[in-house]
Amino acid sequence: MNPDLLDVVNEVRRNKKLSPLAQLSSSDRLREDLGFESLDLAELTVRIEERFGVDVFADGLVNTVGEIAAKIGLPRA
Amino acid sequence: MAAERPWLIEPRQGVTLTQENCLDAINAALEFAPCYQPRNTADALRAVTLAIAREQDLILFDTDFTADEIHGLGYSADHFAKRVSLARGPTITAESLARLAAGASSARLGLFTSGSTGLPKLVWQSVTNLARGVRTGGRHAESVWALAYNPTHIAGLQVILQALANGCPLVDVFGLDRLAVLAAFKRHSVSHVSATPSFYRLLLPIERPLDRVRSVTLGGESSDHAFLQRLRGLFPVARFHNIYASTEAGTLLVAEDDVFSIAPGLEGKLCLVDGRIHVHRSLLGEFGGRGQDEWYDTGDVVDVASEAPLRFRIVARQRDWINVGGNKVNPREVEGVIEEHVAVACARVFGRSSSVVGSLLCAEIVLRSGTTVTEPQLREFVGSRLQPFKVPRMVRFVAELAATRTGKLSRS
Repeated sequence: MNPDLLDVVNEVRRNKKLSPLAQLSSSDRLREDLGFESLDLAELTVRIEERFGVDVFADGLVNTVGEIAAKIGLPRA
Repeated sequence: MAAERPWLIEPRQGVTLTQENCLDAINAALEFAPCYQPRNTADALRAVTLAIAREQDLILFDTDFTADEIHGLGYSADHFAKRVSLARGPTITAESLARLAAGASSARLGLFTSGSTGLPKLVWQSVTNLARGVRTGGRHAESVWALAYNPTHIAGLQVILQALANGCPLVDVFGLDRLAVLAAFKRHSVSHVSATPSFYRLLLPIERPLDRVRSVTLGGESSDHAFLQRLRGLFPVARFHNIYASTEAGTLLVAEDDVFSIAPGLEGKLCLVDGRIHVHRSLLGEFGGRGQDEWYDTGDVVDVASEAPLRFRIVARQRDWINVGGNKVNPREVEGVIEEHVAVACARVFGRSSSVVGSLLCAEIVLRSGTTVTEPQLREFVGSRLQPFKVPRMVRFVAELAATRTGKLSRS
């Protein structure tokens, strides 16, 4: 998985005082596996938009890391 | 007549407009454009002065409105091309202009509110109403006023009228950066300033007090006691006037600190309903979409300090609230908490549109020199004092805070 996306996820996790992840997998679920609730998802979205220029939540909810990767045009892990 | 007295000092271009050339232009004018978009403050001052002196109604568009925005408001090039012929009247002198600017003129000015939601709306204000707070005589004639507002907005026009009514010079500091503002205050011995809390915030932290300033007026946003105390350090000899006003109604309340009471003349015309300020329609300018309700709900929320006599603090202006996932956040409250942190000089809190939660709370922070703090540390600091939804989720450290064209901190 793209290291920039991992960076952004870890930035949000660090702000929540969660330990950083070593890697991401396409099947990781944002809520259950990464531990994000709605404000975290909003933060993640804005940080992704700043880095990649895409609002990944613009057309509805995304649930997994793979869905985000697809929206920002990253090759799947 | 004080022929060569400066009327407008523009530190940006180093230009000075004198009373003499302004009066000459007024007396020579044969036509008048009732719909006008000034390019700069000097343009705005000339147009407003001409409207007041020749008692013509004038619609003023913000200097920075784009062609698209103006078109969106329903105005085209035709409106701007239109001219009205002016009848030759008695010669305007400095004295007659002063009297007209103090409220005697029958002119009305059409202004657009800042319109935090949807399109700006046109509000007509009579010069008489705009000049309600103008004071003349005595030492007022010796004042040097800083113009720290957009000259096409109500608060800017109030400053312009105050200066015109006393023949005082105006120093245009609107939109200047911190060092340029401080230099202009010093160089031109500014004695009076009226501005938003955001403007004053831009001048902090204090390096050298501005001890020639005798009068400091704040308006447009709510300001709390702690902030006012910091400002007293910057303006150690000034009298403070904290104003509650709106484009719809003009100046309504004035306090020395952050506790307001309803002035004797306004009893029965202002009241509190469900903790919000309501204004009687007799105090309002003319604007569309208001209906015929007797009372106008400003949406501005107060905290009652005492019942008899009624005294209250203004907690937040309606347009300031930020909706974060259905929770309303008062950015002033969050800014106040951030500014309690030892490393923080000043902060601006604003909403960033989010497809997930409506608005995501963001903060821009200016650190005190020689100090440091990280984003997680600041968030923890705020999180230990406020509810989770009031903690900014994006924190950026900046050299200066951004202001909007109304001179308020940008909240979008």
